[in-house]
Amino acid sequence: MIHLITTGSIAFSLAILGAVLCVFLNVDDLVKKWRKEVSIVLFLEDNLNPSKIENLKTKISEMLEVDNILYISKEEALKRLKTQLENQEGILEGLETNPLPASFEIRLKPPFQNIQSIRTLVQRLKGLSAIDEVQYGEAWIERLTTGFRLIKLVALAIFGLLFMSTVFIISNTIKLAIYARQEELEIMRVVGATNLFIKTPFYIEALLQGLVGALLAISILFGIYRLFVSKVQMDSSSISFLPSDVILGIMGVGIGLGLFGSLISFRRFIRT
Amino acid sequence: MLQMLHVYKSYEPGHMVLHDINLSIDKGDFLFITGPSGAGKTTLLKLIFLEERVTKGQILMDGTSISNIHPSKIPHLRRRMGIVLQDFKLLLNRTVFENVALSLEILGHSKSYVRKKVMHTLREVNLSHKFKILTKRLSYGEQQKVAIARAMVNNPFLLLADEPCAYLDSHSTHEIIAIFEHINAWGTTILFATHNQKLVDTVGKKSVRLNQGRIIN
Ligand SMILES: Nc1ncnc2c1ncn2[C@@H]1O[C@H](COP(=O)(O)OP(=O)(O)OP(=O)(O)O)[C@@H](O)[C@H]1O
Ligand SMILES: [Mg+2]
Repeated sequence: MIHLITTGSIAFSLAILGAVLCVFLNVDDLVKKWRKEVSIVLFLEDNLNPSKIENLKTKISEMLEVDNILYISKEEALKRLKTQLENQEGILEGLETNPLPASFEIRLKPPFQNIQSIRTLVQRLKGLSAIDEVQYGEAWIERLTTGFRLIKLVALAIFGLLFMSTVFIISNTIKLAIYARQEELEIMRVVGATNLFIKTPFYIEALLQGLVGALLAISILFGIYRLFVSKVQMDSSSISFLPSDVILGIMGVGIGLGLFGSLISFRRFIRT
Repeated sequence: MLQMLHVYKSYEPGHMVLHDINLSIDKGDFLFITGPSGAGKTTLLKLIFLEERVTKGQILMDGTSISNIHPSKIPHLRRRMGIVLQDFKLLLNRTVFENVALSLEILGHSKSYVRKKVMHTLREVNLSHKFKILTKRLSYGEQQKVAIARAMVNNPFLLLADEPCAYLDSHSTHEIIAIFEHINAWGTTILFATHNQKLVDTVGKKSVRLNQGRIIN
């Protein structure tokens, strides 16, 4: 019974920890993906001659932050709009001239995929001649960044709380186990058993409980993950389960929890 | 081999349970410690196996003081002793065999050695036929024999026996005494605490008498 409580509480906190980690890692993945897709669009003035455009293109592509630059002509822009509109092409039929401006689409190198770098780059781009307007997803980039920081903080707080409460529960259940076997421990001491000899079984027990708890937590998490993926009908490539090193880490934390809990309760219990 | 020099013991301040005990025990001695209930016999033995510490004075074992020995060294000292406690201190939910084997298992002996040695010792105390039985199913006298077997099984250099025959009939008592004399002849020093003066007289070994914490002969 006592073992069940210990193993259960380890499993419970590790499951929550794992869930938080899983969400965290997936959000992290997503943010990275989005960041990669962050692009700056430069709308060009009309009627620029091709050599001017070519000039501008090399100038921008030589900037430190720029990964690649794509020129989209007025015709290209219209074609894109048409495919986006699909069956509603009729809307565009009345047009005599092409109202869409030509533009550059700029992708940034990974180290510059953050709000500060984007801002300074935009500032510099705005200073160039022949640029009509610069667009980038300012608001949501910012929201994403602060939101992500918040998630990190919350995850850390949850982890801290869980760790403490689990150690508390474990050390208490182990105390109960020691109480239950106090007579036995006393007898062992009378016949000359060393502290190590007496403690080792408790440590092994705690270690196993930690390990079993961790395995339990991981299987529960995996079950939930599979259920989630199938219910939301997403292919499992868009939401990934915990990577193997994190799973190993969770098992390590489980074992650590068990051992730490038993260490604490022995500190208070065994004198001689 | 064992000396007590001006040993005093109090459990509560101001109330001495042992007064100025001076004893010298040689290797191979068989010494009875007698005296009425509450005289301090158990306390004296507890001081020797370091369950309790002296309040004043010195206890020397092979010439070195054990009065201030570090707690971590106590187990090693006890392993070389055999201890029969007045209240047995047996694992009642374990078998007779497991109880006796405990003394050897903590020493890390092999399973086959433990098995052989335990069964041999159980035969000596006439309990080998009950080796599989849970200790709580035994009579007091039988439990006492288990405690004696556990104390003997590791070939101790010193056997401390606190009322080891209190629950035994006279036949079993004399069997146990014979066993003690036997291991004593092989070199084990024995300290035997009892309030049974008649037993002491019939066995005819050395004895010291305690009364109210003092040696009185
Ligand atoms: N742990 C203890 N705390 C306080 N007083 C104790 C403790 N153990 C023993 N005493 C006291 O010490 C005195 C001697 O006790 P002890 O058990 O040594 O006597 P004894 O000679 O073994 O008696 P008996 O023949 O009844 O076993 C008694 O007065 C007892 O009340
Ligand atoms: Mg006594």
